[in-house]
Amino acid sequence: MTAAAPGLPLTAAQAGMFYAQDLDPASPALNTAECADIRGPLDPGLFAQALYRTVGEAEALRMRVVRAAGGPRQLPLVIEPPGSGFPLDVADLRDRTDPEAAAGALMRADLALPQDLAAGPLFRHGLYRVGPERWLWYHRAHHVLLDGYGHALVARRVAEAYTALAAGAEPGPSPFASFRRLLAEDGEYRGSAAYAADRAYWRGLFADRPAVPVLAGEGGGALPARTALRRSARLPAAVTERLSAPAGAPGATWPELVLAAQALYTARVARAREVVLGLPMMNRLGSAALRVPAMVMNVLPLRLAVGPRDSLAELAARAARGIREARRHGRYRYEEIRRDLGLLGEGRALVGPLVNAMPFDGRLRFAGAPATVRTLAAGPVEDLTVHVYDRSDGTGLHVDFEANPARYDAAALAAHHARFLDLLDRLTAAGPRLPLARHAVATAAERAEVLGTFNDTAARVPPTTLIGPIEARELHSPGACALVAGEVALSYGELGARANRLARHLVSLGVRPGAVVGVCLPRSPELVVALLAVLKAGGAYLPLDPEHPAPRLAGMVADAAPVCVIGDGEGRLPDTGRPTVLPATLDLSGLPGVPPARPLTPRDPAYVLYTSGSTGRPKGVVVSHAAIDNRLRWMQHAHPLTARDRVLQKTPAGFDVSVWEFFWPLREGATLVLAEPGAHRDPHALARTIEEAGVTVCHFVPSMLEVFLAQGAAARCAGLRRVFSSGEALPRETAAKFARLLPGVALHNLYGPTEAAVDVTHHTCRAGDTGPVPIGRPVWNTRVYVLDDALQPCPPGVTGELYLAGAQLAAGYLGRPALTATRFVADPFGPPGSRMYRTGDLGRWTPEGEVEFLGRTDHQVKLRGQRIEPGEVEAALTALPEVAGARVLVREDRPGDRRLVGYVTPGAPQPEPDRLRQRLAAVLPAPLVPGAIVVLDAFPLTPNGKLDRAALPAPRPAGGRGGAALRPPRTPREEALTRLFAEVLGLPAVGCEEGFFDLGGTSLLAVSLAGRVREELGVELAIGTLFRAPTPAALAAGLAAPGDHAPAGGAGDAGRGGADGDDALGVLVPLRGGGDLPPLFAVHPAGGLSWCYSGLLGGLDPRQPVFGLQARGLRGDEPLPGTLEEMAADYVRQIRAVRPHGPYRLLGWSVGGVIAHAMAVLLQEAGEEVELLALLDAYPADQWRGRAGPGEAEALTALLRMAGFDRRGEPSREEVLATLRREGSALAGLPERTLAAVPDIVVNNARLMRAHRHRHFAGEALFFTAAAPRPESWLTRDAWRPYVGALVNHDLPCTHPRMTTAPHIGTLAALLAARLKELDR
Amino acid sequence: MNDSPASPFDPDDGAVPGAGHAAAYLVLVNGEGAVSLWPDFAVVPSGWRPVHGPDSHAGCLAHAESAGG
Repeated sequence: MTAAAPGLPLTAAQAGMFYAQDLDPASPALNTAECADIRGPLDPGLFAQALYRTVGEAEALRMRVVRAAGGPRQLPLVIEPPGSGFPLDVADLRDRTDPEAAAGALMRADLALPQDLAAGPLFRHGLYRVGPERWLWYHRAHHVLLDGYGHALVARRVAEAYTALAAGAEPGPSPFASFRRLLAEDGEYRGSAAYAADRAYWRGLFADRPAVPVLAGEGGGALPARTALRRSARLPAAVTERLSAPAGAPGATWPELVLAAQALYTARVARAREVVLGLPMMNRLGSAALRVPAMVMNVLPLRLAVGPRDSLAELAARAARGIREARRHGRYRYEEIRRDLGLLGEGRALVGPLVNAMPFDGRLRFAGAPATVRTLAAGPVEDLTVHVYDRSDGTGLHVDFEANPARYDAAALAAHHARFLDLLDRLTAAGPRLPLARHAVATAAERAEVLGTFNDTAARVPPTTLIGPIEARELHSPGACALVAGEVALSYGELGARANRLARHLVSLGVRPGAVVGVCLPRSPELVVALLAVLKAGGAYLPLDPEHPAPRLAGMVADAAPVCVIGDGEGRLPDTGRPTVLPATLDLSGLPGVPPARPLTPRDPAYVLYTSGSTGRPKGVVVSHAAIDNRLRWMQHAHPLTARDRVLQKTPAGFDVSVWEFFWPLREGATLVLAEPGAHRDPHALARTIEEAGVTVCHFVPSMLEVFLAQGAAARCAGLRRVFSSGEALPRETAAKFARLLPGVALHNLYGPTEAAVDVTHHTCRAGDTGPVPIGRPVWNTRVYVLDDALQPCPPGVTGELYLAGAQLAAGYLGRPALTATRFVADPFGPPGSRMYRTGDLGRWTPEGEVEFLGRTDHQVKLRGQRIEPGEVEAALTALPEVAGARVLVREDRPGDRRLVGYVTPGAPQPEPDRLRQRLAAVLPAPLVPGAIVVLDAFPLTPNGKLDRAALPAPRPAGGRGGAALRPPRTPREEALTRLFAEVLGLPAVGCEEGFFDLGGTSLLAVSLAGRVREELGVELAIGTLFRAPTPAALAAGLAAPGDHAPAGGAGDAGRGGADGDDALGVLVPLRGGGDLPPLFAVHPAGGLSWCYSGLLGGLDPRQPVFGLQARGLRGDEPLPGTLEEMAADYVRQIRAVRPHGPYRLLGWSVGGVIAHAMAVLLQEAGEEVELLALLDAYPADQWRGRAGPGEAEALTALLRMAGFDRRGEPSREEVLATLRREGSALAGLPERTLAAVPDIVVNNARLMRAHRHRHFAGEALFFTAAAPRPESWLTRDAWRPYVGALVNHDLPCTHPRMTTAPHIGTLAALLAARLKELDR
Repeated sequence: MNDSPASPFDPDDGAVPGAGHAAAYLVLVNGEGAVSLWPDFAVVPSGWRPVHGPDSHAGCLAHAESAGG
């Protein structure tokens, strides 16, 4: 045996405190203290003697603790007697204004001092005289020395010794047992069989590592604070009495009842069915420690299930059983349980609130003076500690809440404390046999506030319908502008007449109140006419989004059984067996243009909207006229529209926001402005519409609003008055950005499900507000309830599920009575027989009566405003044979980039993610199709068998891809798109056949991509196009721009020829088709391709169109031109097809410059203006004539130059091709016959150039010289002098072949842009 | 907190093994024929009367489906 380290070992409990202090040496939180309030005469001298004697008897107090090799050790200290250094502060505070407060201040100051464990002494006393016969005895000890029970032993002995001394007697022998024996017992336990059994017990009980509910949300994480907040109160005598002798629960003790009450309170507030409370245990039963003042206490975790059907008596009995069990294994340390469960490393808590019930007698007597003791500090508070104690002074039970200020503010703590006292009162008054669900945690006042005050929304509305007020407008202001869609404008009279005639036709088909009519039309005036017609006929409209897959639409039609479906004959709808109405093909002119008669009442349905269904089947929400009428009347009251307002309609008709967009302006005599179909996904298109149509009111889903603001589109929307936002949580940053960018515009945050007529709460954002943006207060005639799991109202600040009641509730789900009965349920708080809708959303009231949205109770998600039930997507996945199991959820692997991800286990055959996504896209709307699908062998599970969401892998990052997907680009557009894909997705490179969404793209990133495509290529990319054609190759083939005037073989027919790159081989290629400036025509160099000029685009004005001219013969199927003059004339014809008259802007590199000069001459001779002729290191024919033309080798070199390789001497075509492929050149992707043609074109161009005779161009040539030394030292730009009016030169520090590569092309573009800008003035 | 806290209208998945009572539900009907599932622990709201139960969640749903359909 090795020699023991000096001093004594620590108890396990002491060691826990040592390490706790070690974690934060400057913290005073481990100071514990008590104060005895002594009322009577006291002799301070005798008192000091009693103290000194007691300290002498309590060995544990005379220790200091040092770090040693084998762990901390405690060393005895010599404690000096009173007057010679004994740590006792005696003061007479009677002359102070408030002596008691002065004493309290002294105690607090002492308690705030951190202790050095290695120094000691680690205790201190104070004796403060605060009255003629009143003293306060303060006793502080570090928790490493003493626990609460130890304090009590010490205090009792001090009182006993003082009493003896005051009587002039010698105090009896020390009542304390040996501290060393206690240390020995403690050490023995750790090697015992009991230790192993206890350890196994706790490991088994907590094997599932349960989450720990706390009042402040999720437990764990926070370090113990250095201080604690405290609230103290005395229970009313009646409550103490009922707790002490509970009727109906004989045998239940007050500590058990208090524990049960705290379990109930915690479970309700934290929305948990099970809690884990911490029980401080004195841990001395059956041990020598019962008589040792020392630190041995432990905290044991108590798992308690709290069911709504349980009674208080049952819960208390369950708690009592749990305590007995725990006590049997109670010597095993709290710290060790945490360590065994692996909670330490994760910083996770083992227990929630601590409930410290102290039933021991706190009464003392110092000779003739009685005293009561109270605890000032009981050690660190991780979360919340509830101290319940009886001072045995006749004042009954006291309940103190002590909280970590990092988790609770004073107001929250006060509210919890007050509610808990109130709950104890009600629980005991009601009798302990009532189901716990009957008890709310809210006080009566809080209940009245949240149910009544916050829901004081009654407003009188006339019994009207959705359509009635619109028909009034048609009648009274028929000439006012009702609708604008692009160039189309309809007056109220015109719109009404068209809708009335169609309505009469619908009535003739059997449409009447209660009947459903499908409407399958894209956003258009015809759609508005159809919706109005259905309503005018008395029917309810069922929007069928033409962009949704046909099977889904067919399912909705089968489900809703509409009388008929209004369409446009574009074949969007599958045959549903329902009559189809095609208004465009009907001659309704014979019908009267006034509304048909119909027995419509406000209770009849106005529309049926389908939303995602968790079981895989969408559900149809039936909304009555009264419900939506209330919603629109509130909106007009709160945010009135005038006849001058113009409201943007951009939300697809299948989403409920569209309802107010369509009908609110028409009810109020304002103008409805229709965005183009698909424009709702494109912020720039929306901004354009808002600007051009003078829109004053519009709606954004928050994520779209964010993009709208980020892309600078908002700046163009000066006419906006109001923006409404709904559909998902509105981030404060977005609201703040809105306030900055659109300072005069109101931003309203709205909330509501389709099941409650669009919106039920509202909040107007104010600049400068902070914190989460509330969803606000209820609208007219609407009640919002925040209820806990017992259907009891939650007080402000406590999270619960949102339930909605009032005028706006939907009738239910069409043809789904059971589903309706589970979501539209009886309302316990409204008028008799009324219903409430269970949203599944979580929220809480602010003290001001606004609601904050806090997520979902279930897994339903909202992505960009779209409500998605993962269950529906999972059902669609498992319907496929290659999928055995499926889970769908939203991931955010990159900040702000939320996307739907599917996980599947394989069926047969083996699933391929891309194919699964394609098949889902055939049955689900695009937003419901996961952006990525991951195939797993099995789903990871938590110990209790639930899906372990945290263990699901992120979808494979881009990389590890291969095969055909990585094909390099074959066209300039492919090249540009792969580059832009990579840029937007943050990837180093993207292959031509890689899908945007497979690579992690989301529709928000898609909007960024569309923006970049517009900037670089001048082409409008609709997001829908990207969904259909998600790869650079498909997109390049499918992109058609308004500015693309492609002649035969150009981009116009690229769709079918894309794979061959045919569009890229046309004579005139739009490198950037869009833009309103005079186009720049760039003529190919010797090799015949003009892709090299795409590098100019980034540096030129985005409005500057750029077209490339390319050689005939690139497809290998047409003759090469016979002269350069012929070629130039051909090109002039090509550009005049796009731009019939000047001014013209021409540019050419190398041979291209010579051709451009020839074209400029031809155009001038035809009387046209050529305002720019840019020659890029091009030299006139005179300089070349007589020199040998290029042979095969030079032609191959030219080919390499086109690919950006500045080298020569490749021996054969094959080797040149191999080089291109190896280097990943875009050219390697060209068809074989094109590559074969290029050398011939090079040779021909050189020949034609040498034969050309220049004429004079009467204008300036802007020359760019490749100024690096070159072998052809004889070349000089001055040779142009005879053929141009003027020559302006810029030198670029590069060789001729590098001129069109970075960075030189950028310099060139900048110089060119400067010149073009002069021209644009 | 639990992954998916139980709502009083969802079938009790037995996630609370320690709780003393099995979940049971009622089917309520109001004067207009509206049907509501209802947990048996809560007081039946005024204006509604039980027409089925106490029964299992599935039993009540089956009843609601037939009562409402």
